Amino acid sequence: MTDINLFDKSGFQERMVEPLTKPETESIPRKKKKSKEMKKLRFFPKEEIYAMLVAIGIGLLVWWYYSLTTFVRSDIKEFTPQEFMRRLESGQDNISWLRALEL
Amino acid sequence: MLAICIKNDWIRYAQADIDNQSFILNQLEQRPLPPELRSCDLRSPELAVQLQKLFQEIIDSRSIPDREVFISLGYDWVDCHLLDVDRRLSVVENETYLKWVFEQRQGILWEDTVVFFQETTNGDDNTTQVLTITAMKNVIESIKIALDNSGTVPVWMEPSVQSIMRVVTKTTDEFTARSMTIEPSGEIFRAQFHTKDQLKAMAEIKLRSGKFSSKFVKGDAAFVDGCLSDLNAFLKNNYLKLNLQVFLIGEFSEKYLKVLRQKNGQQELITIVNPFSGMENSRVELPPVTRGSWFVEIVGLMQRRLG
Repeated sequence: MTDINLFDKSGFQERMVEPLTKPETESIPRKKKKSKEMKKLRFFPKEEIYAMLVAIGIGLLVWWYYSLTTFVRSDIKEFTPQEFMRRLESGQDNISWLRALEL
Repeated sequence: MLAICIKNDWIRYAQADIDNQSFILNQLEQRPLPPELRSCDLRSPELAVQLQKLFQEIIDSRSIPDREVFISLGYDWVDCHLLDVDRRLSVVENETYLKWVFEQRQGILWEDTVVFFQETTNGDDNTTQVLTITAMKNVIESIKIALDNSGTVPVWMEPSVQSIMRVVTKTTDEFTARSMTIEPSGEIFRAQFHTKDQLKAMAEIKLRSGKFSSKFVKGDAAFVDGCLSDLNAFLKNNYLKLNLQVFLIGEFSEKYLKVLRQKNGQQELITIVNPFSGMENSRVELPPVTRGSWFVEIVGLMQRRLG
């Protein structure tokens, strides 16, 4: 054990032994960085996967809404009583129960 | 050379001639510190004046003039710690970290503090222990100025922990891996723990109901616990072989001696440090062992001078 002279300069008076694993300390962050980059490239983080699923869901709902509106007619036109009777008489509408009621 | 030790309100000093890797003792004295230097304010601007007065008295009392001065300071003048640092970090990073630690500890005193570091070989693959010494800037400057003004050259100054260790590790026998040096200080003991060549810890320990326990530890706490539990086991069953050397500086009171002076065949538990053992060249009468152990730091400084 080397001695310390309090008349000498403060701090470390003799050089400490060089770090034994100095290369490792340099390589650790590099390795970590590399692995992170690799992870980023290969895999999406959870949050991104959830966001993608939500976006796809919203897209599906929008698509479903528009396809439904095109399927279900929203411009229903009501027949006038005269027109209704005319169609009934001409037999264009197959409303047998109404005829039975009439009879 | 002139070796001076200031500790526990006492100043001890010796003057020795260095002769071919050995020293001849010309003077060996001790005296209580003057009242103004006992528990004094270490930041006081008066410190340099009071120390110079004291040093001048010592220098004037010397039989042979000498210029080189070596000093050892007790725990009431400088503070020692053992702290872990990361071995993989650079010196600058570790120094920055240690200074930050002490800045937090010292608070407003940090501006007036100077800190020294020394790496030890304790630790594992990733950590290493650093011996750190903190002192008030004023203490170091005042001692330097006082010695300069007394016409001497301040060559070396160290904490008493290091002076003691230098002597004790030379005394440790080859077969014992661990040693413990204790020094009574009021109701407690100040202790330092070593391997063959390393300081492992510093602690305050107490003896209650025939059992040693630590009050606080600086350094390797597991090492201290191991030493104390082995010592307690030995005190309980003194037929055990104790792989620990216990050194004593000074003397115990009778009640402690009763507990500690136990023998197991030829194995004696306590060895009083005799720094003058084997010293042949002395122009002064050497003190008896118990009183001589108080001069352990003085001999430690002389060994430092020999290199």
